[in-house]
Amino acid sequence: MSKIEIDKKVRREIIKWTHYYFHKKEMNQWTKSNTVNEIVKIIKKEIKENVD
Amino acid sequence: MLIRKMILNNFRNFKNTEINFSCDPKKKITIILGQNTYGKTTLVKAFIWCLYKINLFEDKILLNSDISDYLLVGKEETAKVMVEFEHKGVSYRITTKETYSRSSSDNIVVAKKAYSTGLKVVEQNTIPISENHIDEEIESILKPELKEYFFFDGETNSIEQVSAKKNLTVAVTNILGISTIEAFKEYYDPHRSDSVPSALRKDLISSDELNAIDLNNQLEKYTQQRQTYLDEIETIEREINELDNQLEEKNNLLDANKDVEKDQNDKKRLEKEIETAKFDKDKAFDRMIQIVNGSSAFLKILFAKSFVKYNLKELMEKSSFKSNSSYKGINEEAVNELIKAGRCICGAEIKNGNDAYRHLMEAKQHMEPHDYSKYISDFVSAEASNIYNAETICENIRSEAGIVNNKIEAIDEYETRLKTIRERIEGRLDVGSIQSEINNIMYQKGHQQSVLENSKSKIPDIEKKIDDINEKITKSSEANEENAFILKCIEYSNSIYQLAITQLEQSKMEIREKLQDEVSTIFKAMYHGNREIIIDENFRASAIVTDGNQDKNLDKSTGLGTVVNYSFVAGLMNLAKQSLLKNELTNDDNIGESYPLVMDAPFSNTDDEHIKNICKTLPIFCDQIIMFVMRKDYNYAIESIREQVGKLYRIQKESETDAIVCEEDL
Repeated sequence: MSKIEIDKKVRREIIKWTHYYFHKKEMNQWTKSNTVNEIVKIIKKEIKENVD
Repeated sequence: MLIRKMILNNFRNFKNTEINFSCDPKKKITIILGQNTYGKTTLVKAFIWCLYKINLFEDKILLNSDISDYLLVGKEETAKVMVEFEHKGVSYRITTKETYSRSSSDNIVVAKKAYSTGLKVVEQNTIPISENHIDEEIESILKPELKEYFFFDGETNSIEQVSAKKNLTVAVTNILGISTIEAFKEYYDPHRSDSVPSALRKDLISSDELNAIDLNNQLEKYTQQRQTYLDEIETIEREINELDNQLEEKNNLLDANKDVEKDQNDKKRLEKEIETAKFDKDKAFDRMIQIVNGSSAFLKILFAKSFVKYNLKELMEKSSFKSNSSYKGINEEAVNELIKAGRCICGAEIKNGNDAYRHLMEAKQHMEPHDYSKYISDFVSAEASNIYNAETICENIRSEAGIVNNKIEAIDEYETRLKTIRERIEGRLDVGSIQSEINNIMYQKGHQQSVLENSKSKIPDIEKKIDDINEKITKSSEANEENAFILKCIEYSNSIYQLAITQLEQSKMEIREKLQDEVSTIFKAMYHGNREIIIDENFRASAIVTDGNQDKNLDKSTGLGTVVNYSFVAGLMNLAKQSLLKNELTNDDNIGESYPLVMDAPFSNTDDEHIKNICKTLPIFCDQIIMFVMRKDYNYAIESIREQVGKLYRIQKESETDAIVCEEDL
């Protein structure tokens, strides 16, 4: 896989969203797979909007 | 986490009790006064049962005795504890119940085992916590293994031992917020099938569909294999931890009973010697009986031997038959035959009246059966032999009787010594059996460690295989825009995973250093001696004298162990409420949290000065302190804590089975 430059700002956003979904999982008793899907969606969104 | 309220219904000796704990930051202490046996420890155990369904009572029936006594067959009654607390801005209400009934055989039995229900209030919305999630939810707030850091039940979890526990890593890292970094590591782990990168990889479009299916099957196989090993490792580590706890407990018992080890060994030796002596005595007695039974004829001689000897002597001396004039080996009948034949063996003629005839007739008087001297001589000789045998038997009986007597005396002496030792060690544990339990635990631990090493050694190889397959999946994916985008997402995901790995190690080091500083500061404020605190890599705290040598003979009279542990717990709590870890993965989430310190009989073995120091220092670092104490201990402490007490209760015992908690004026 060709290495790409990681944009730290985008990564920070993904991390922030991950925290948000961890919190959501805790509050709403989500399953792990549910949480993973939400994180995947937000990663795609962040990268589409800010890296692509 | 701050505890607001606890309600007990039909729980042990509390039929209906409600306690509201002070959560006021300026008045953070709640005092519950109670004499011994009034139920202080019951209240601490009630917290643990409500939150973790762990029943720490020896008698496992939780239902109030008055209620159970009047319970009719077929009817049910429930013991219930409700705890209300706040954690990270959310209010929780957890209720745990256990239902009992009377069986047809008139016993009180559990009809429904302990189960919990819960509610939480998030942003003014009350949400029920489902029964399936309640344990998980409580564990996410305060793991069960951490309970002993915050709930000190005087009987089972002495604060004296907390900071010396074998593995504090899990406890400390969880309290201090590392669990968030661990969650990132888990969610972004490319070697897990349920992770973010694995979910992303499934979106890659392959140029070779068949090959992709095969690779995904292989991936599934190896990720599952890895997970199986990881689960196994986790289980074994937990078991090893449990064995370590058992070892620690047994070693403490061993230390506490070391002074009776010699007595216990002597006791065992004496018991064995008494057993051997009794066996030897019985054997000697049996032999004596056998000798007597088997020698009845000789025994007659034995008892009459002096008379027999005298009579034989008389017989020999006074008898007219002298044995030295007797003809040996020839009898009267043979001579009669010669006379009848008329000729002697020497050839001389025997004729009635001649010299040979007269000589033979004279000789016949000294032959059998006329001569009894030989019989008497043989009889005397046989009797002498019998007397010798009788004397030997007598000697044997005397010898065996001597053994019996010696053994009886020895048994008496051993039993006297044993009685003294038994009195000295009465009620103390058997050091030998503890040692053998320790050896057994060590053996199990050794076995588990080798299984653990074996499982751990498999992981790198499996991860390499997973990495290779992931690489192949990447390579076999179509070179199109959509795939390039997914690969970009995977790279971001992998970079977060790498960040989690690096920060996990750094955070552990950082936490240890900060904990050491924090605990040392608190320790210096509490302790008036010449020692410092060291926190090792497993987060264990120990007090060393300032020249750097570990002092193993800690001065227990000053309660040094208690001071070390209160310093440790206060330091841990103080760090927990700070946003300790500031890094890319935790900066938003780690808002810090307060924890309660619930203490049952907290000042046993602590001198007055240290009680005052502890009472002055703890409220500075802990946001909520709930103290179950006897009034005399409270009187020592009151001067230092008066200003900080928000609630004061007294346990009032109405009867052995009914106590209530009454609020008192401050």
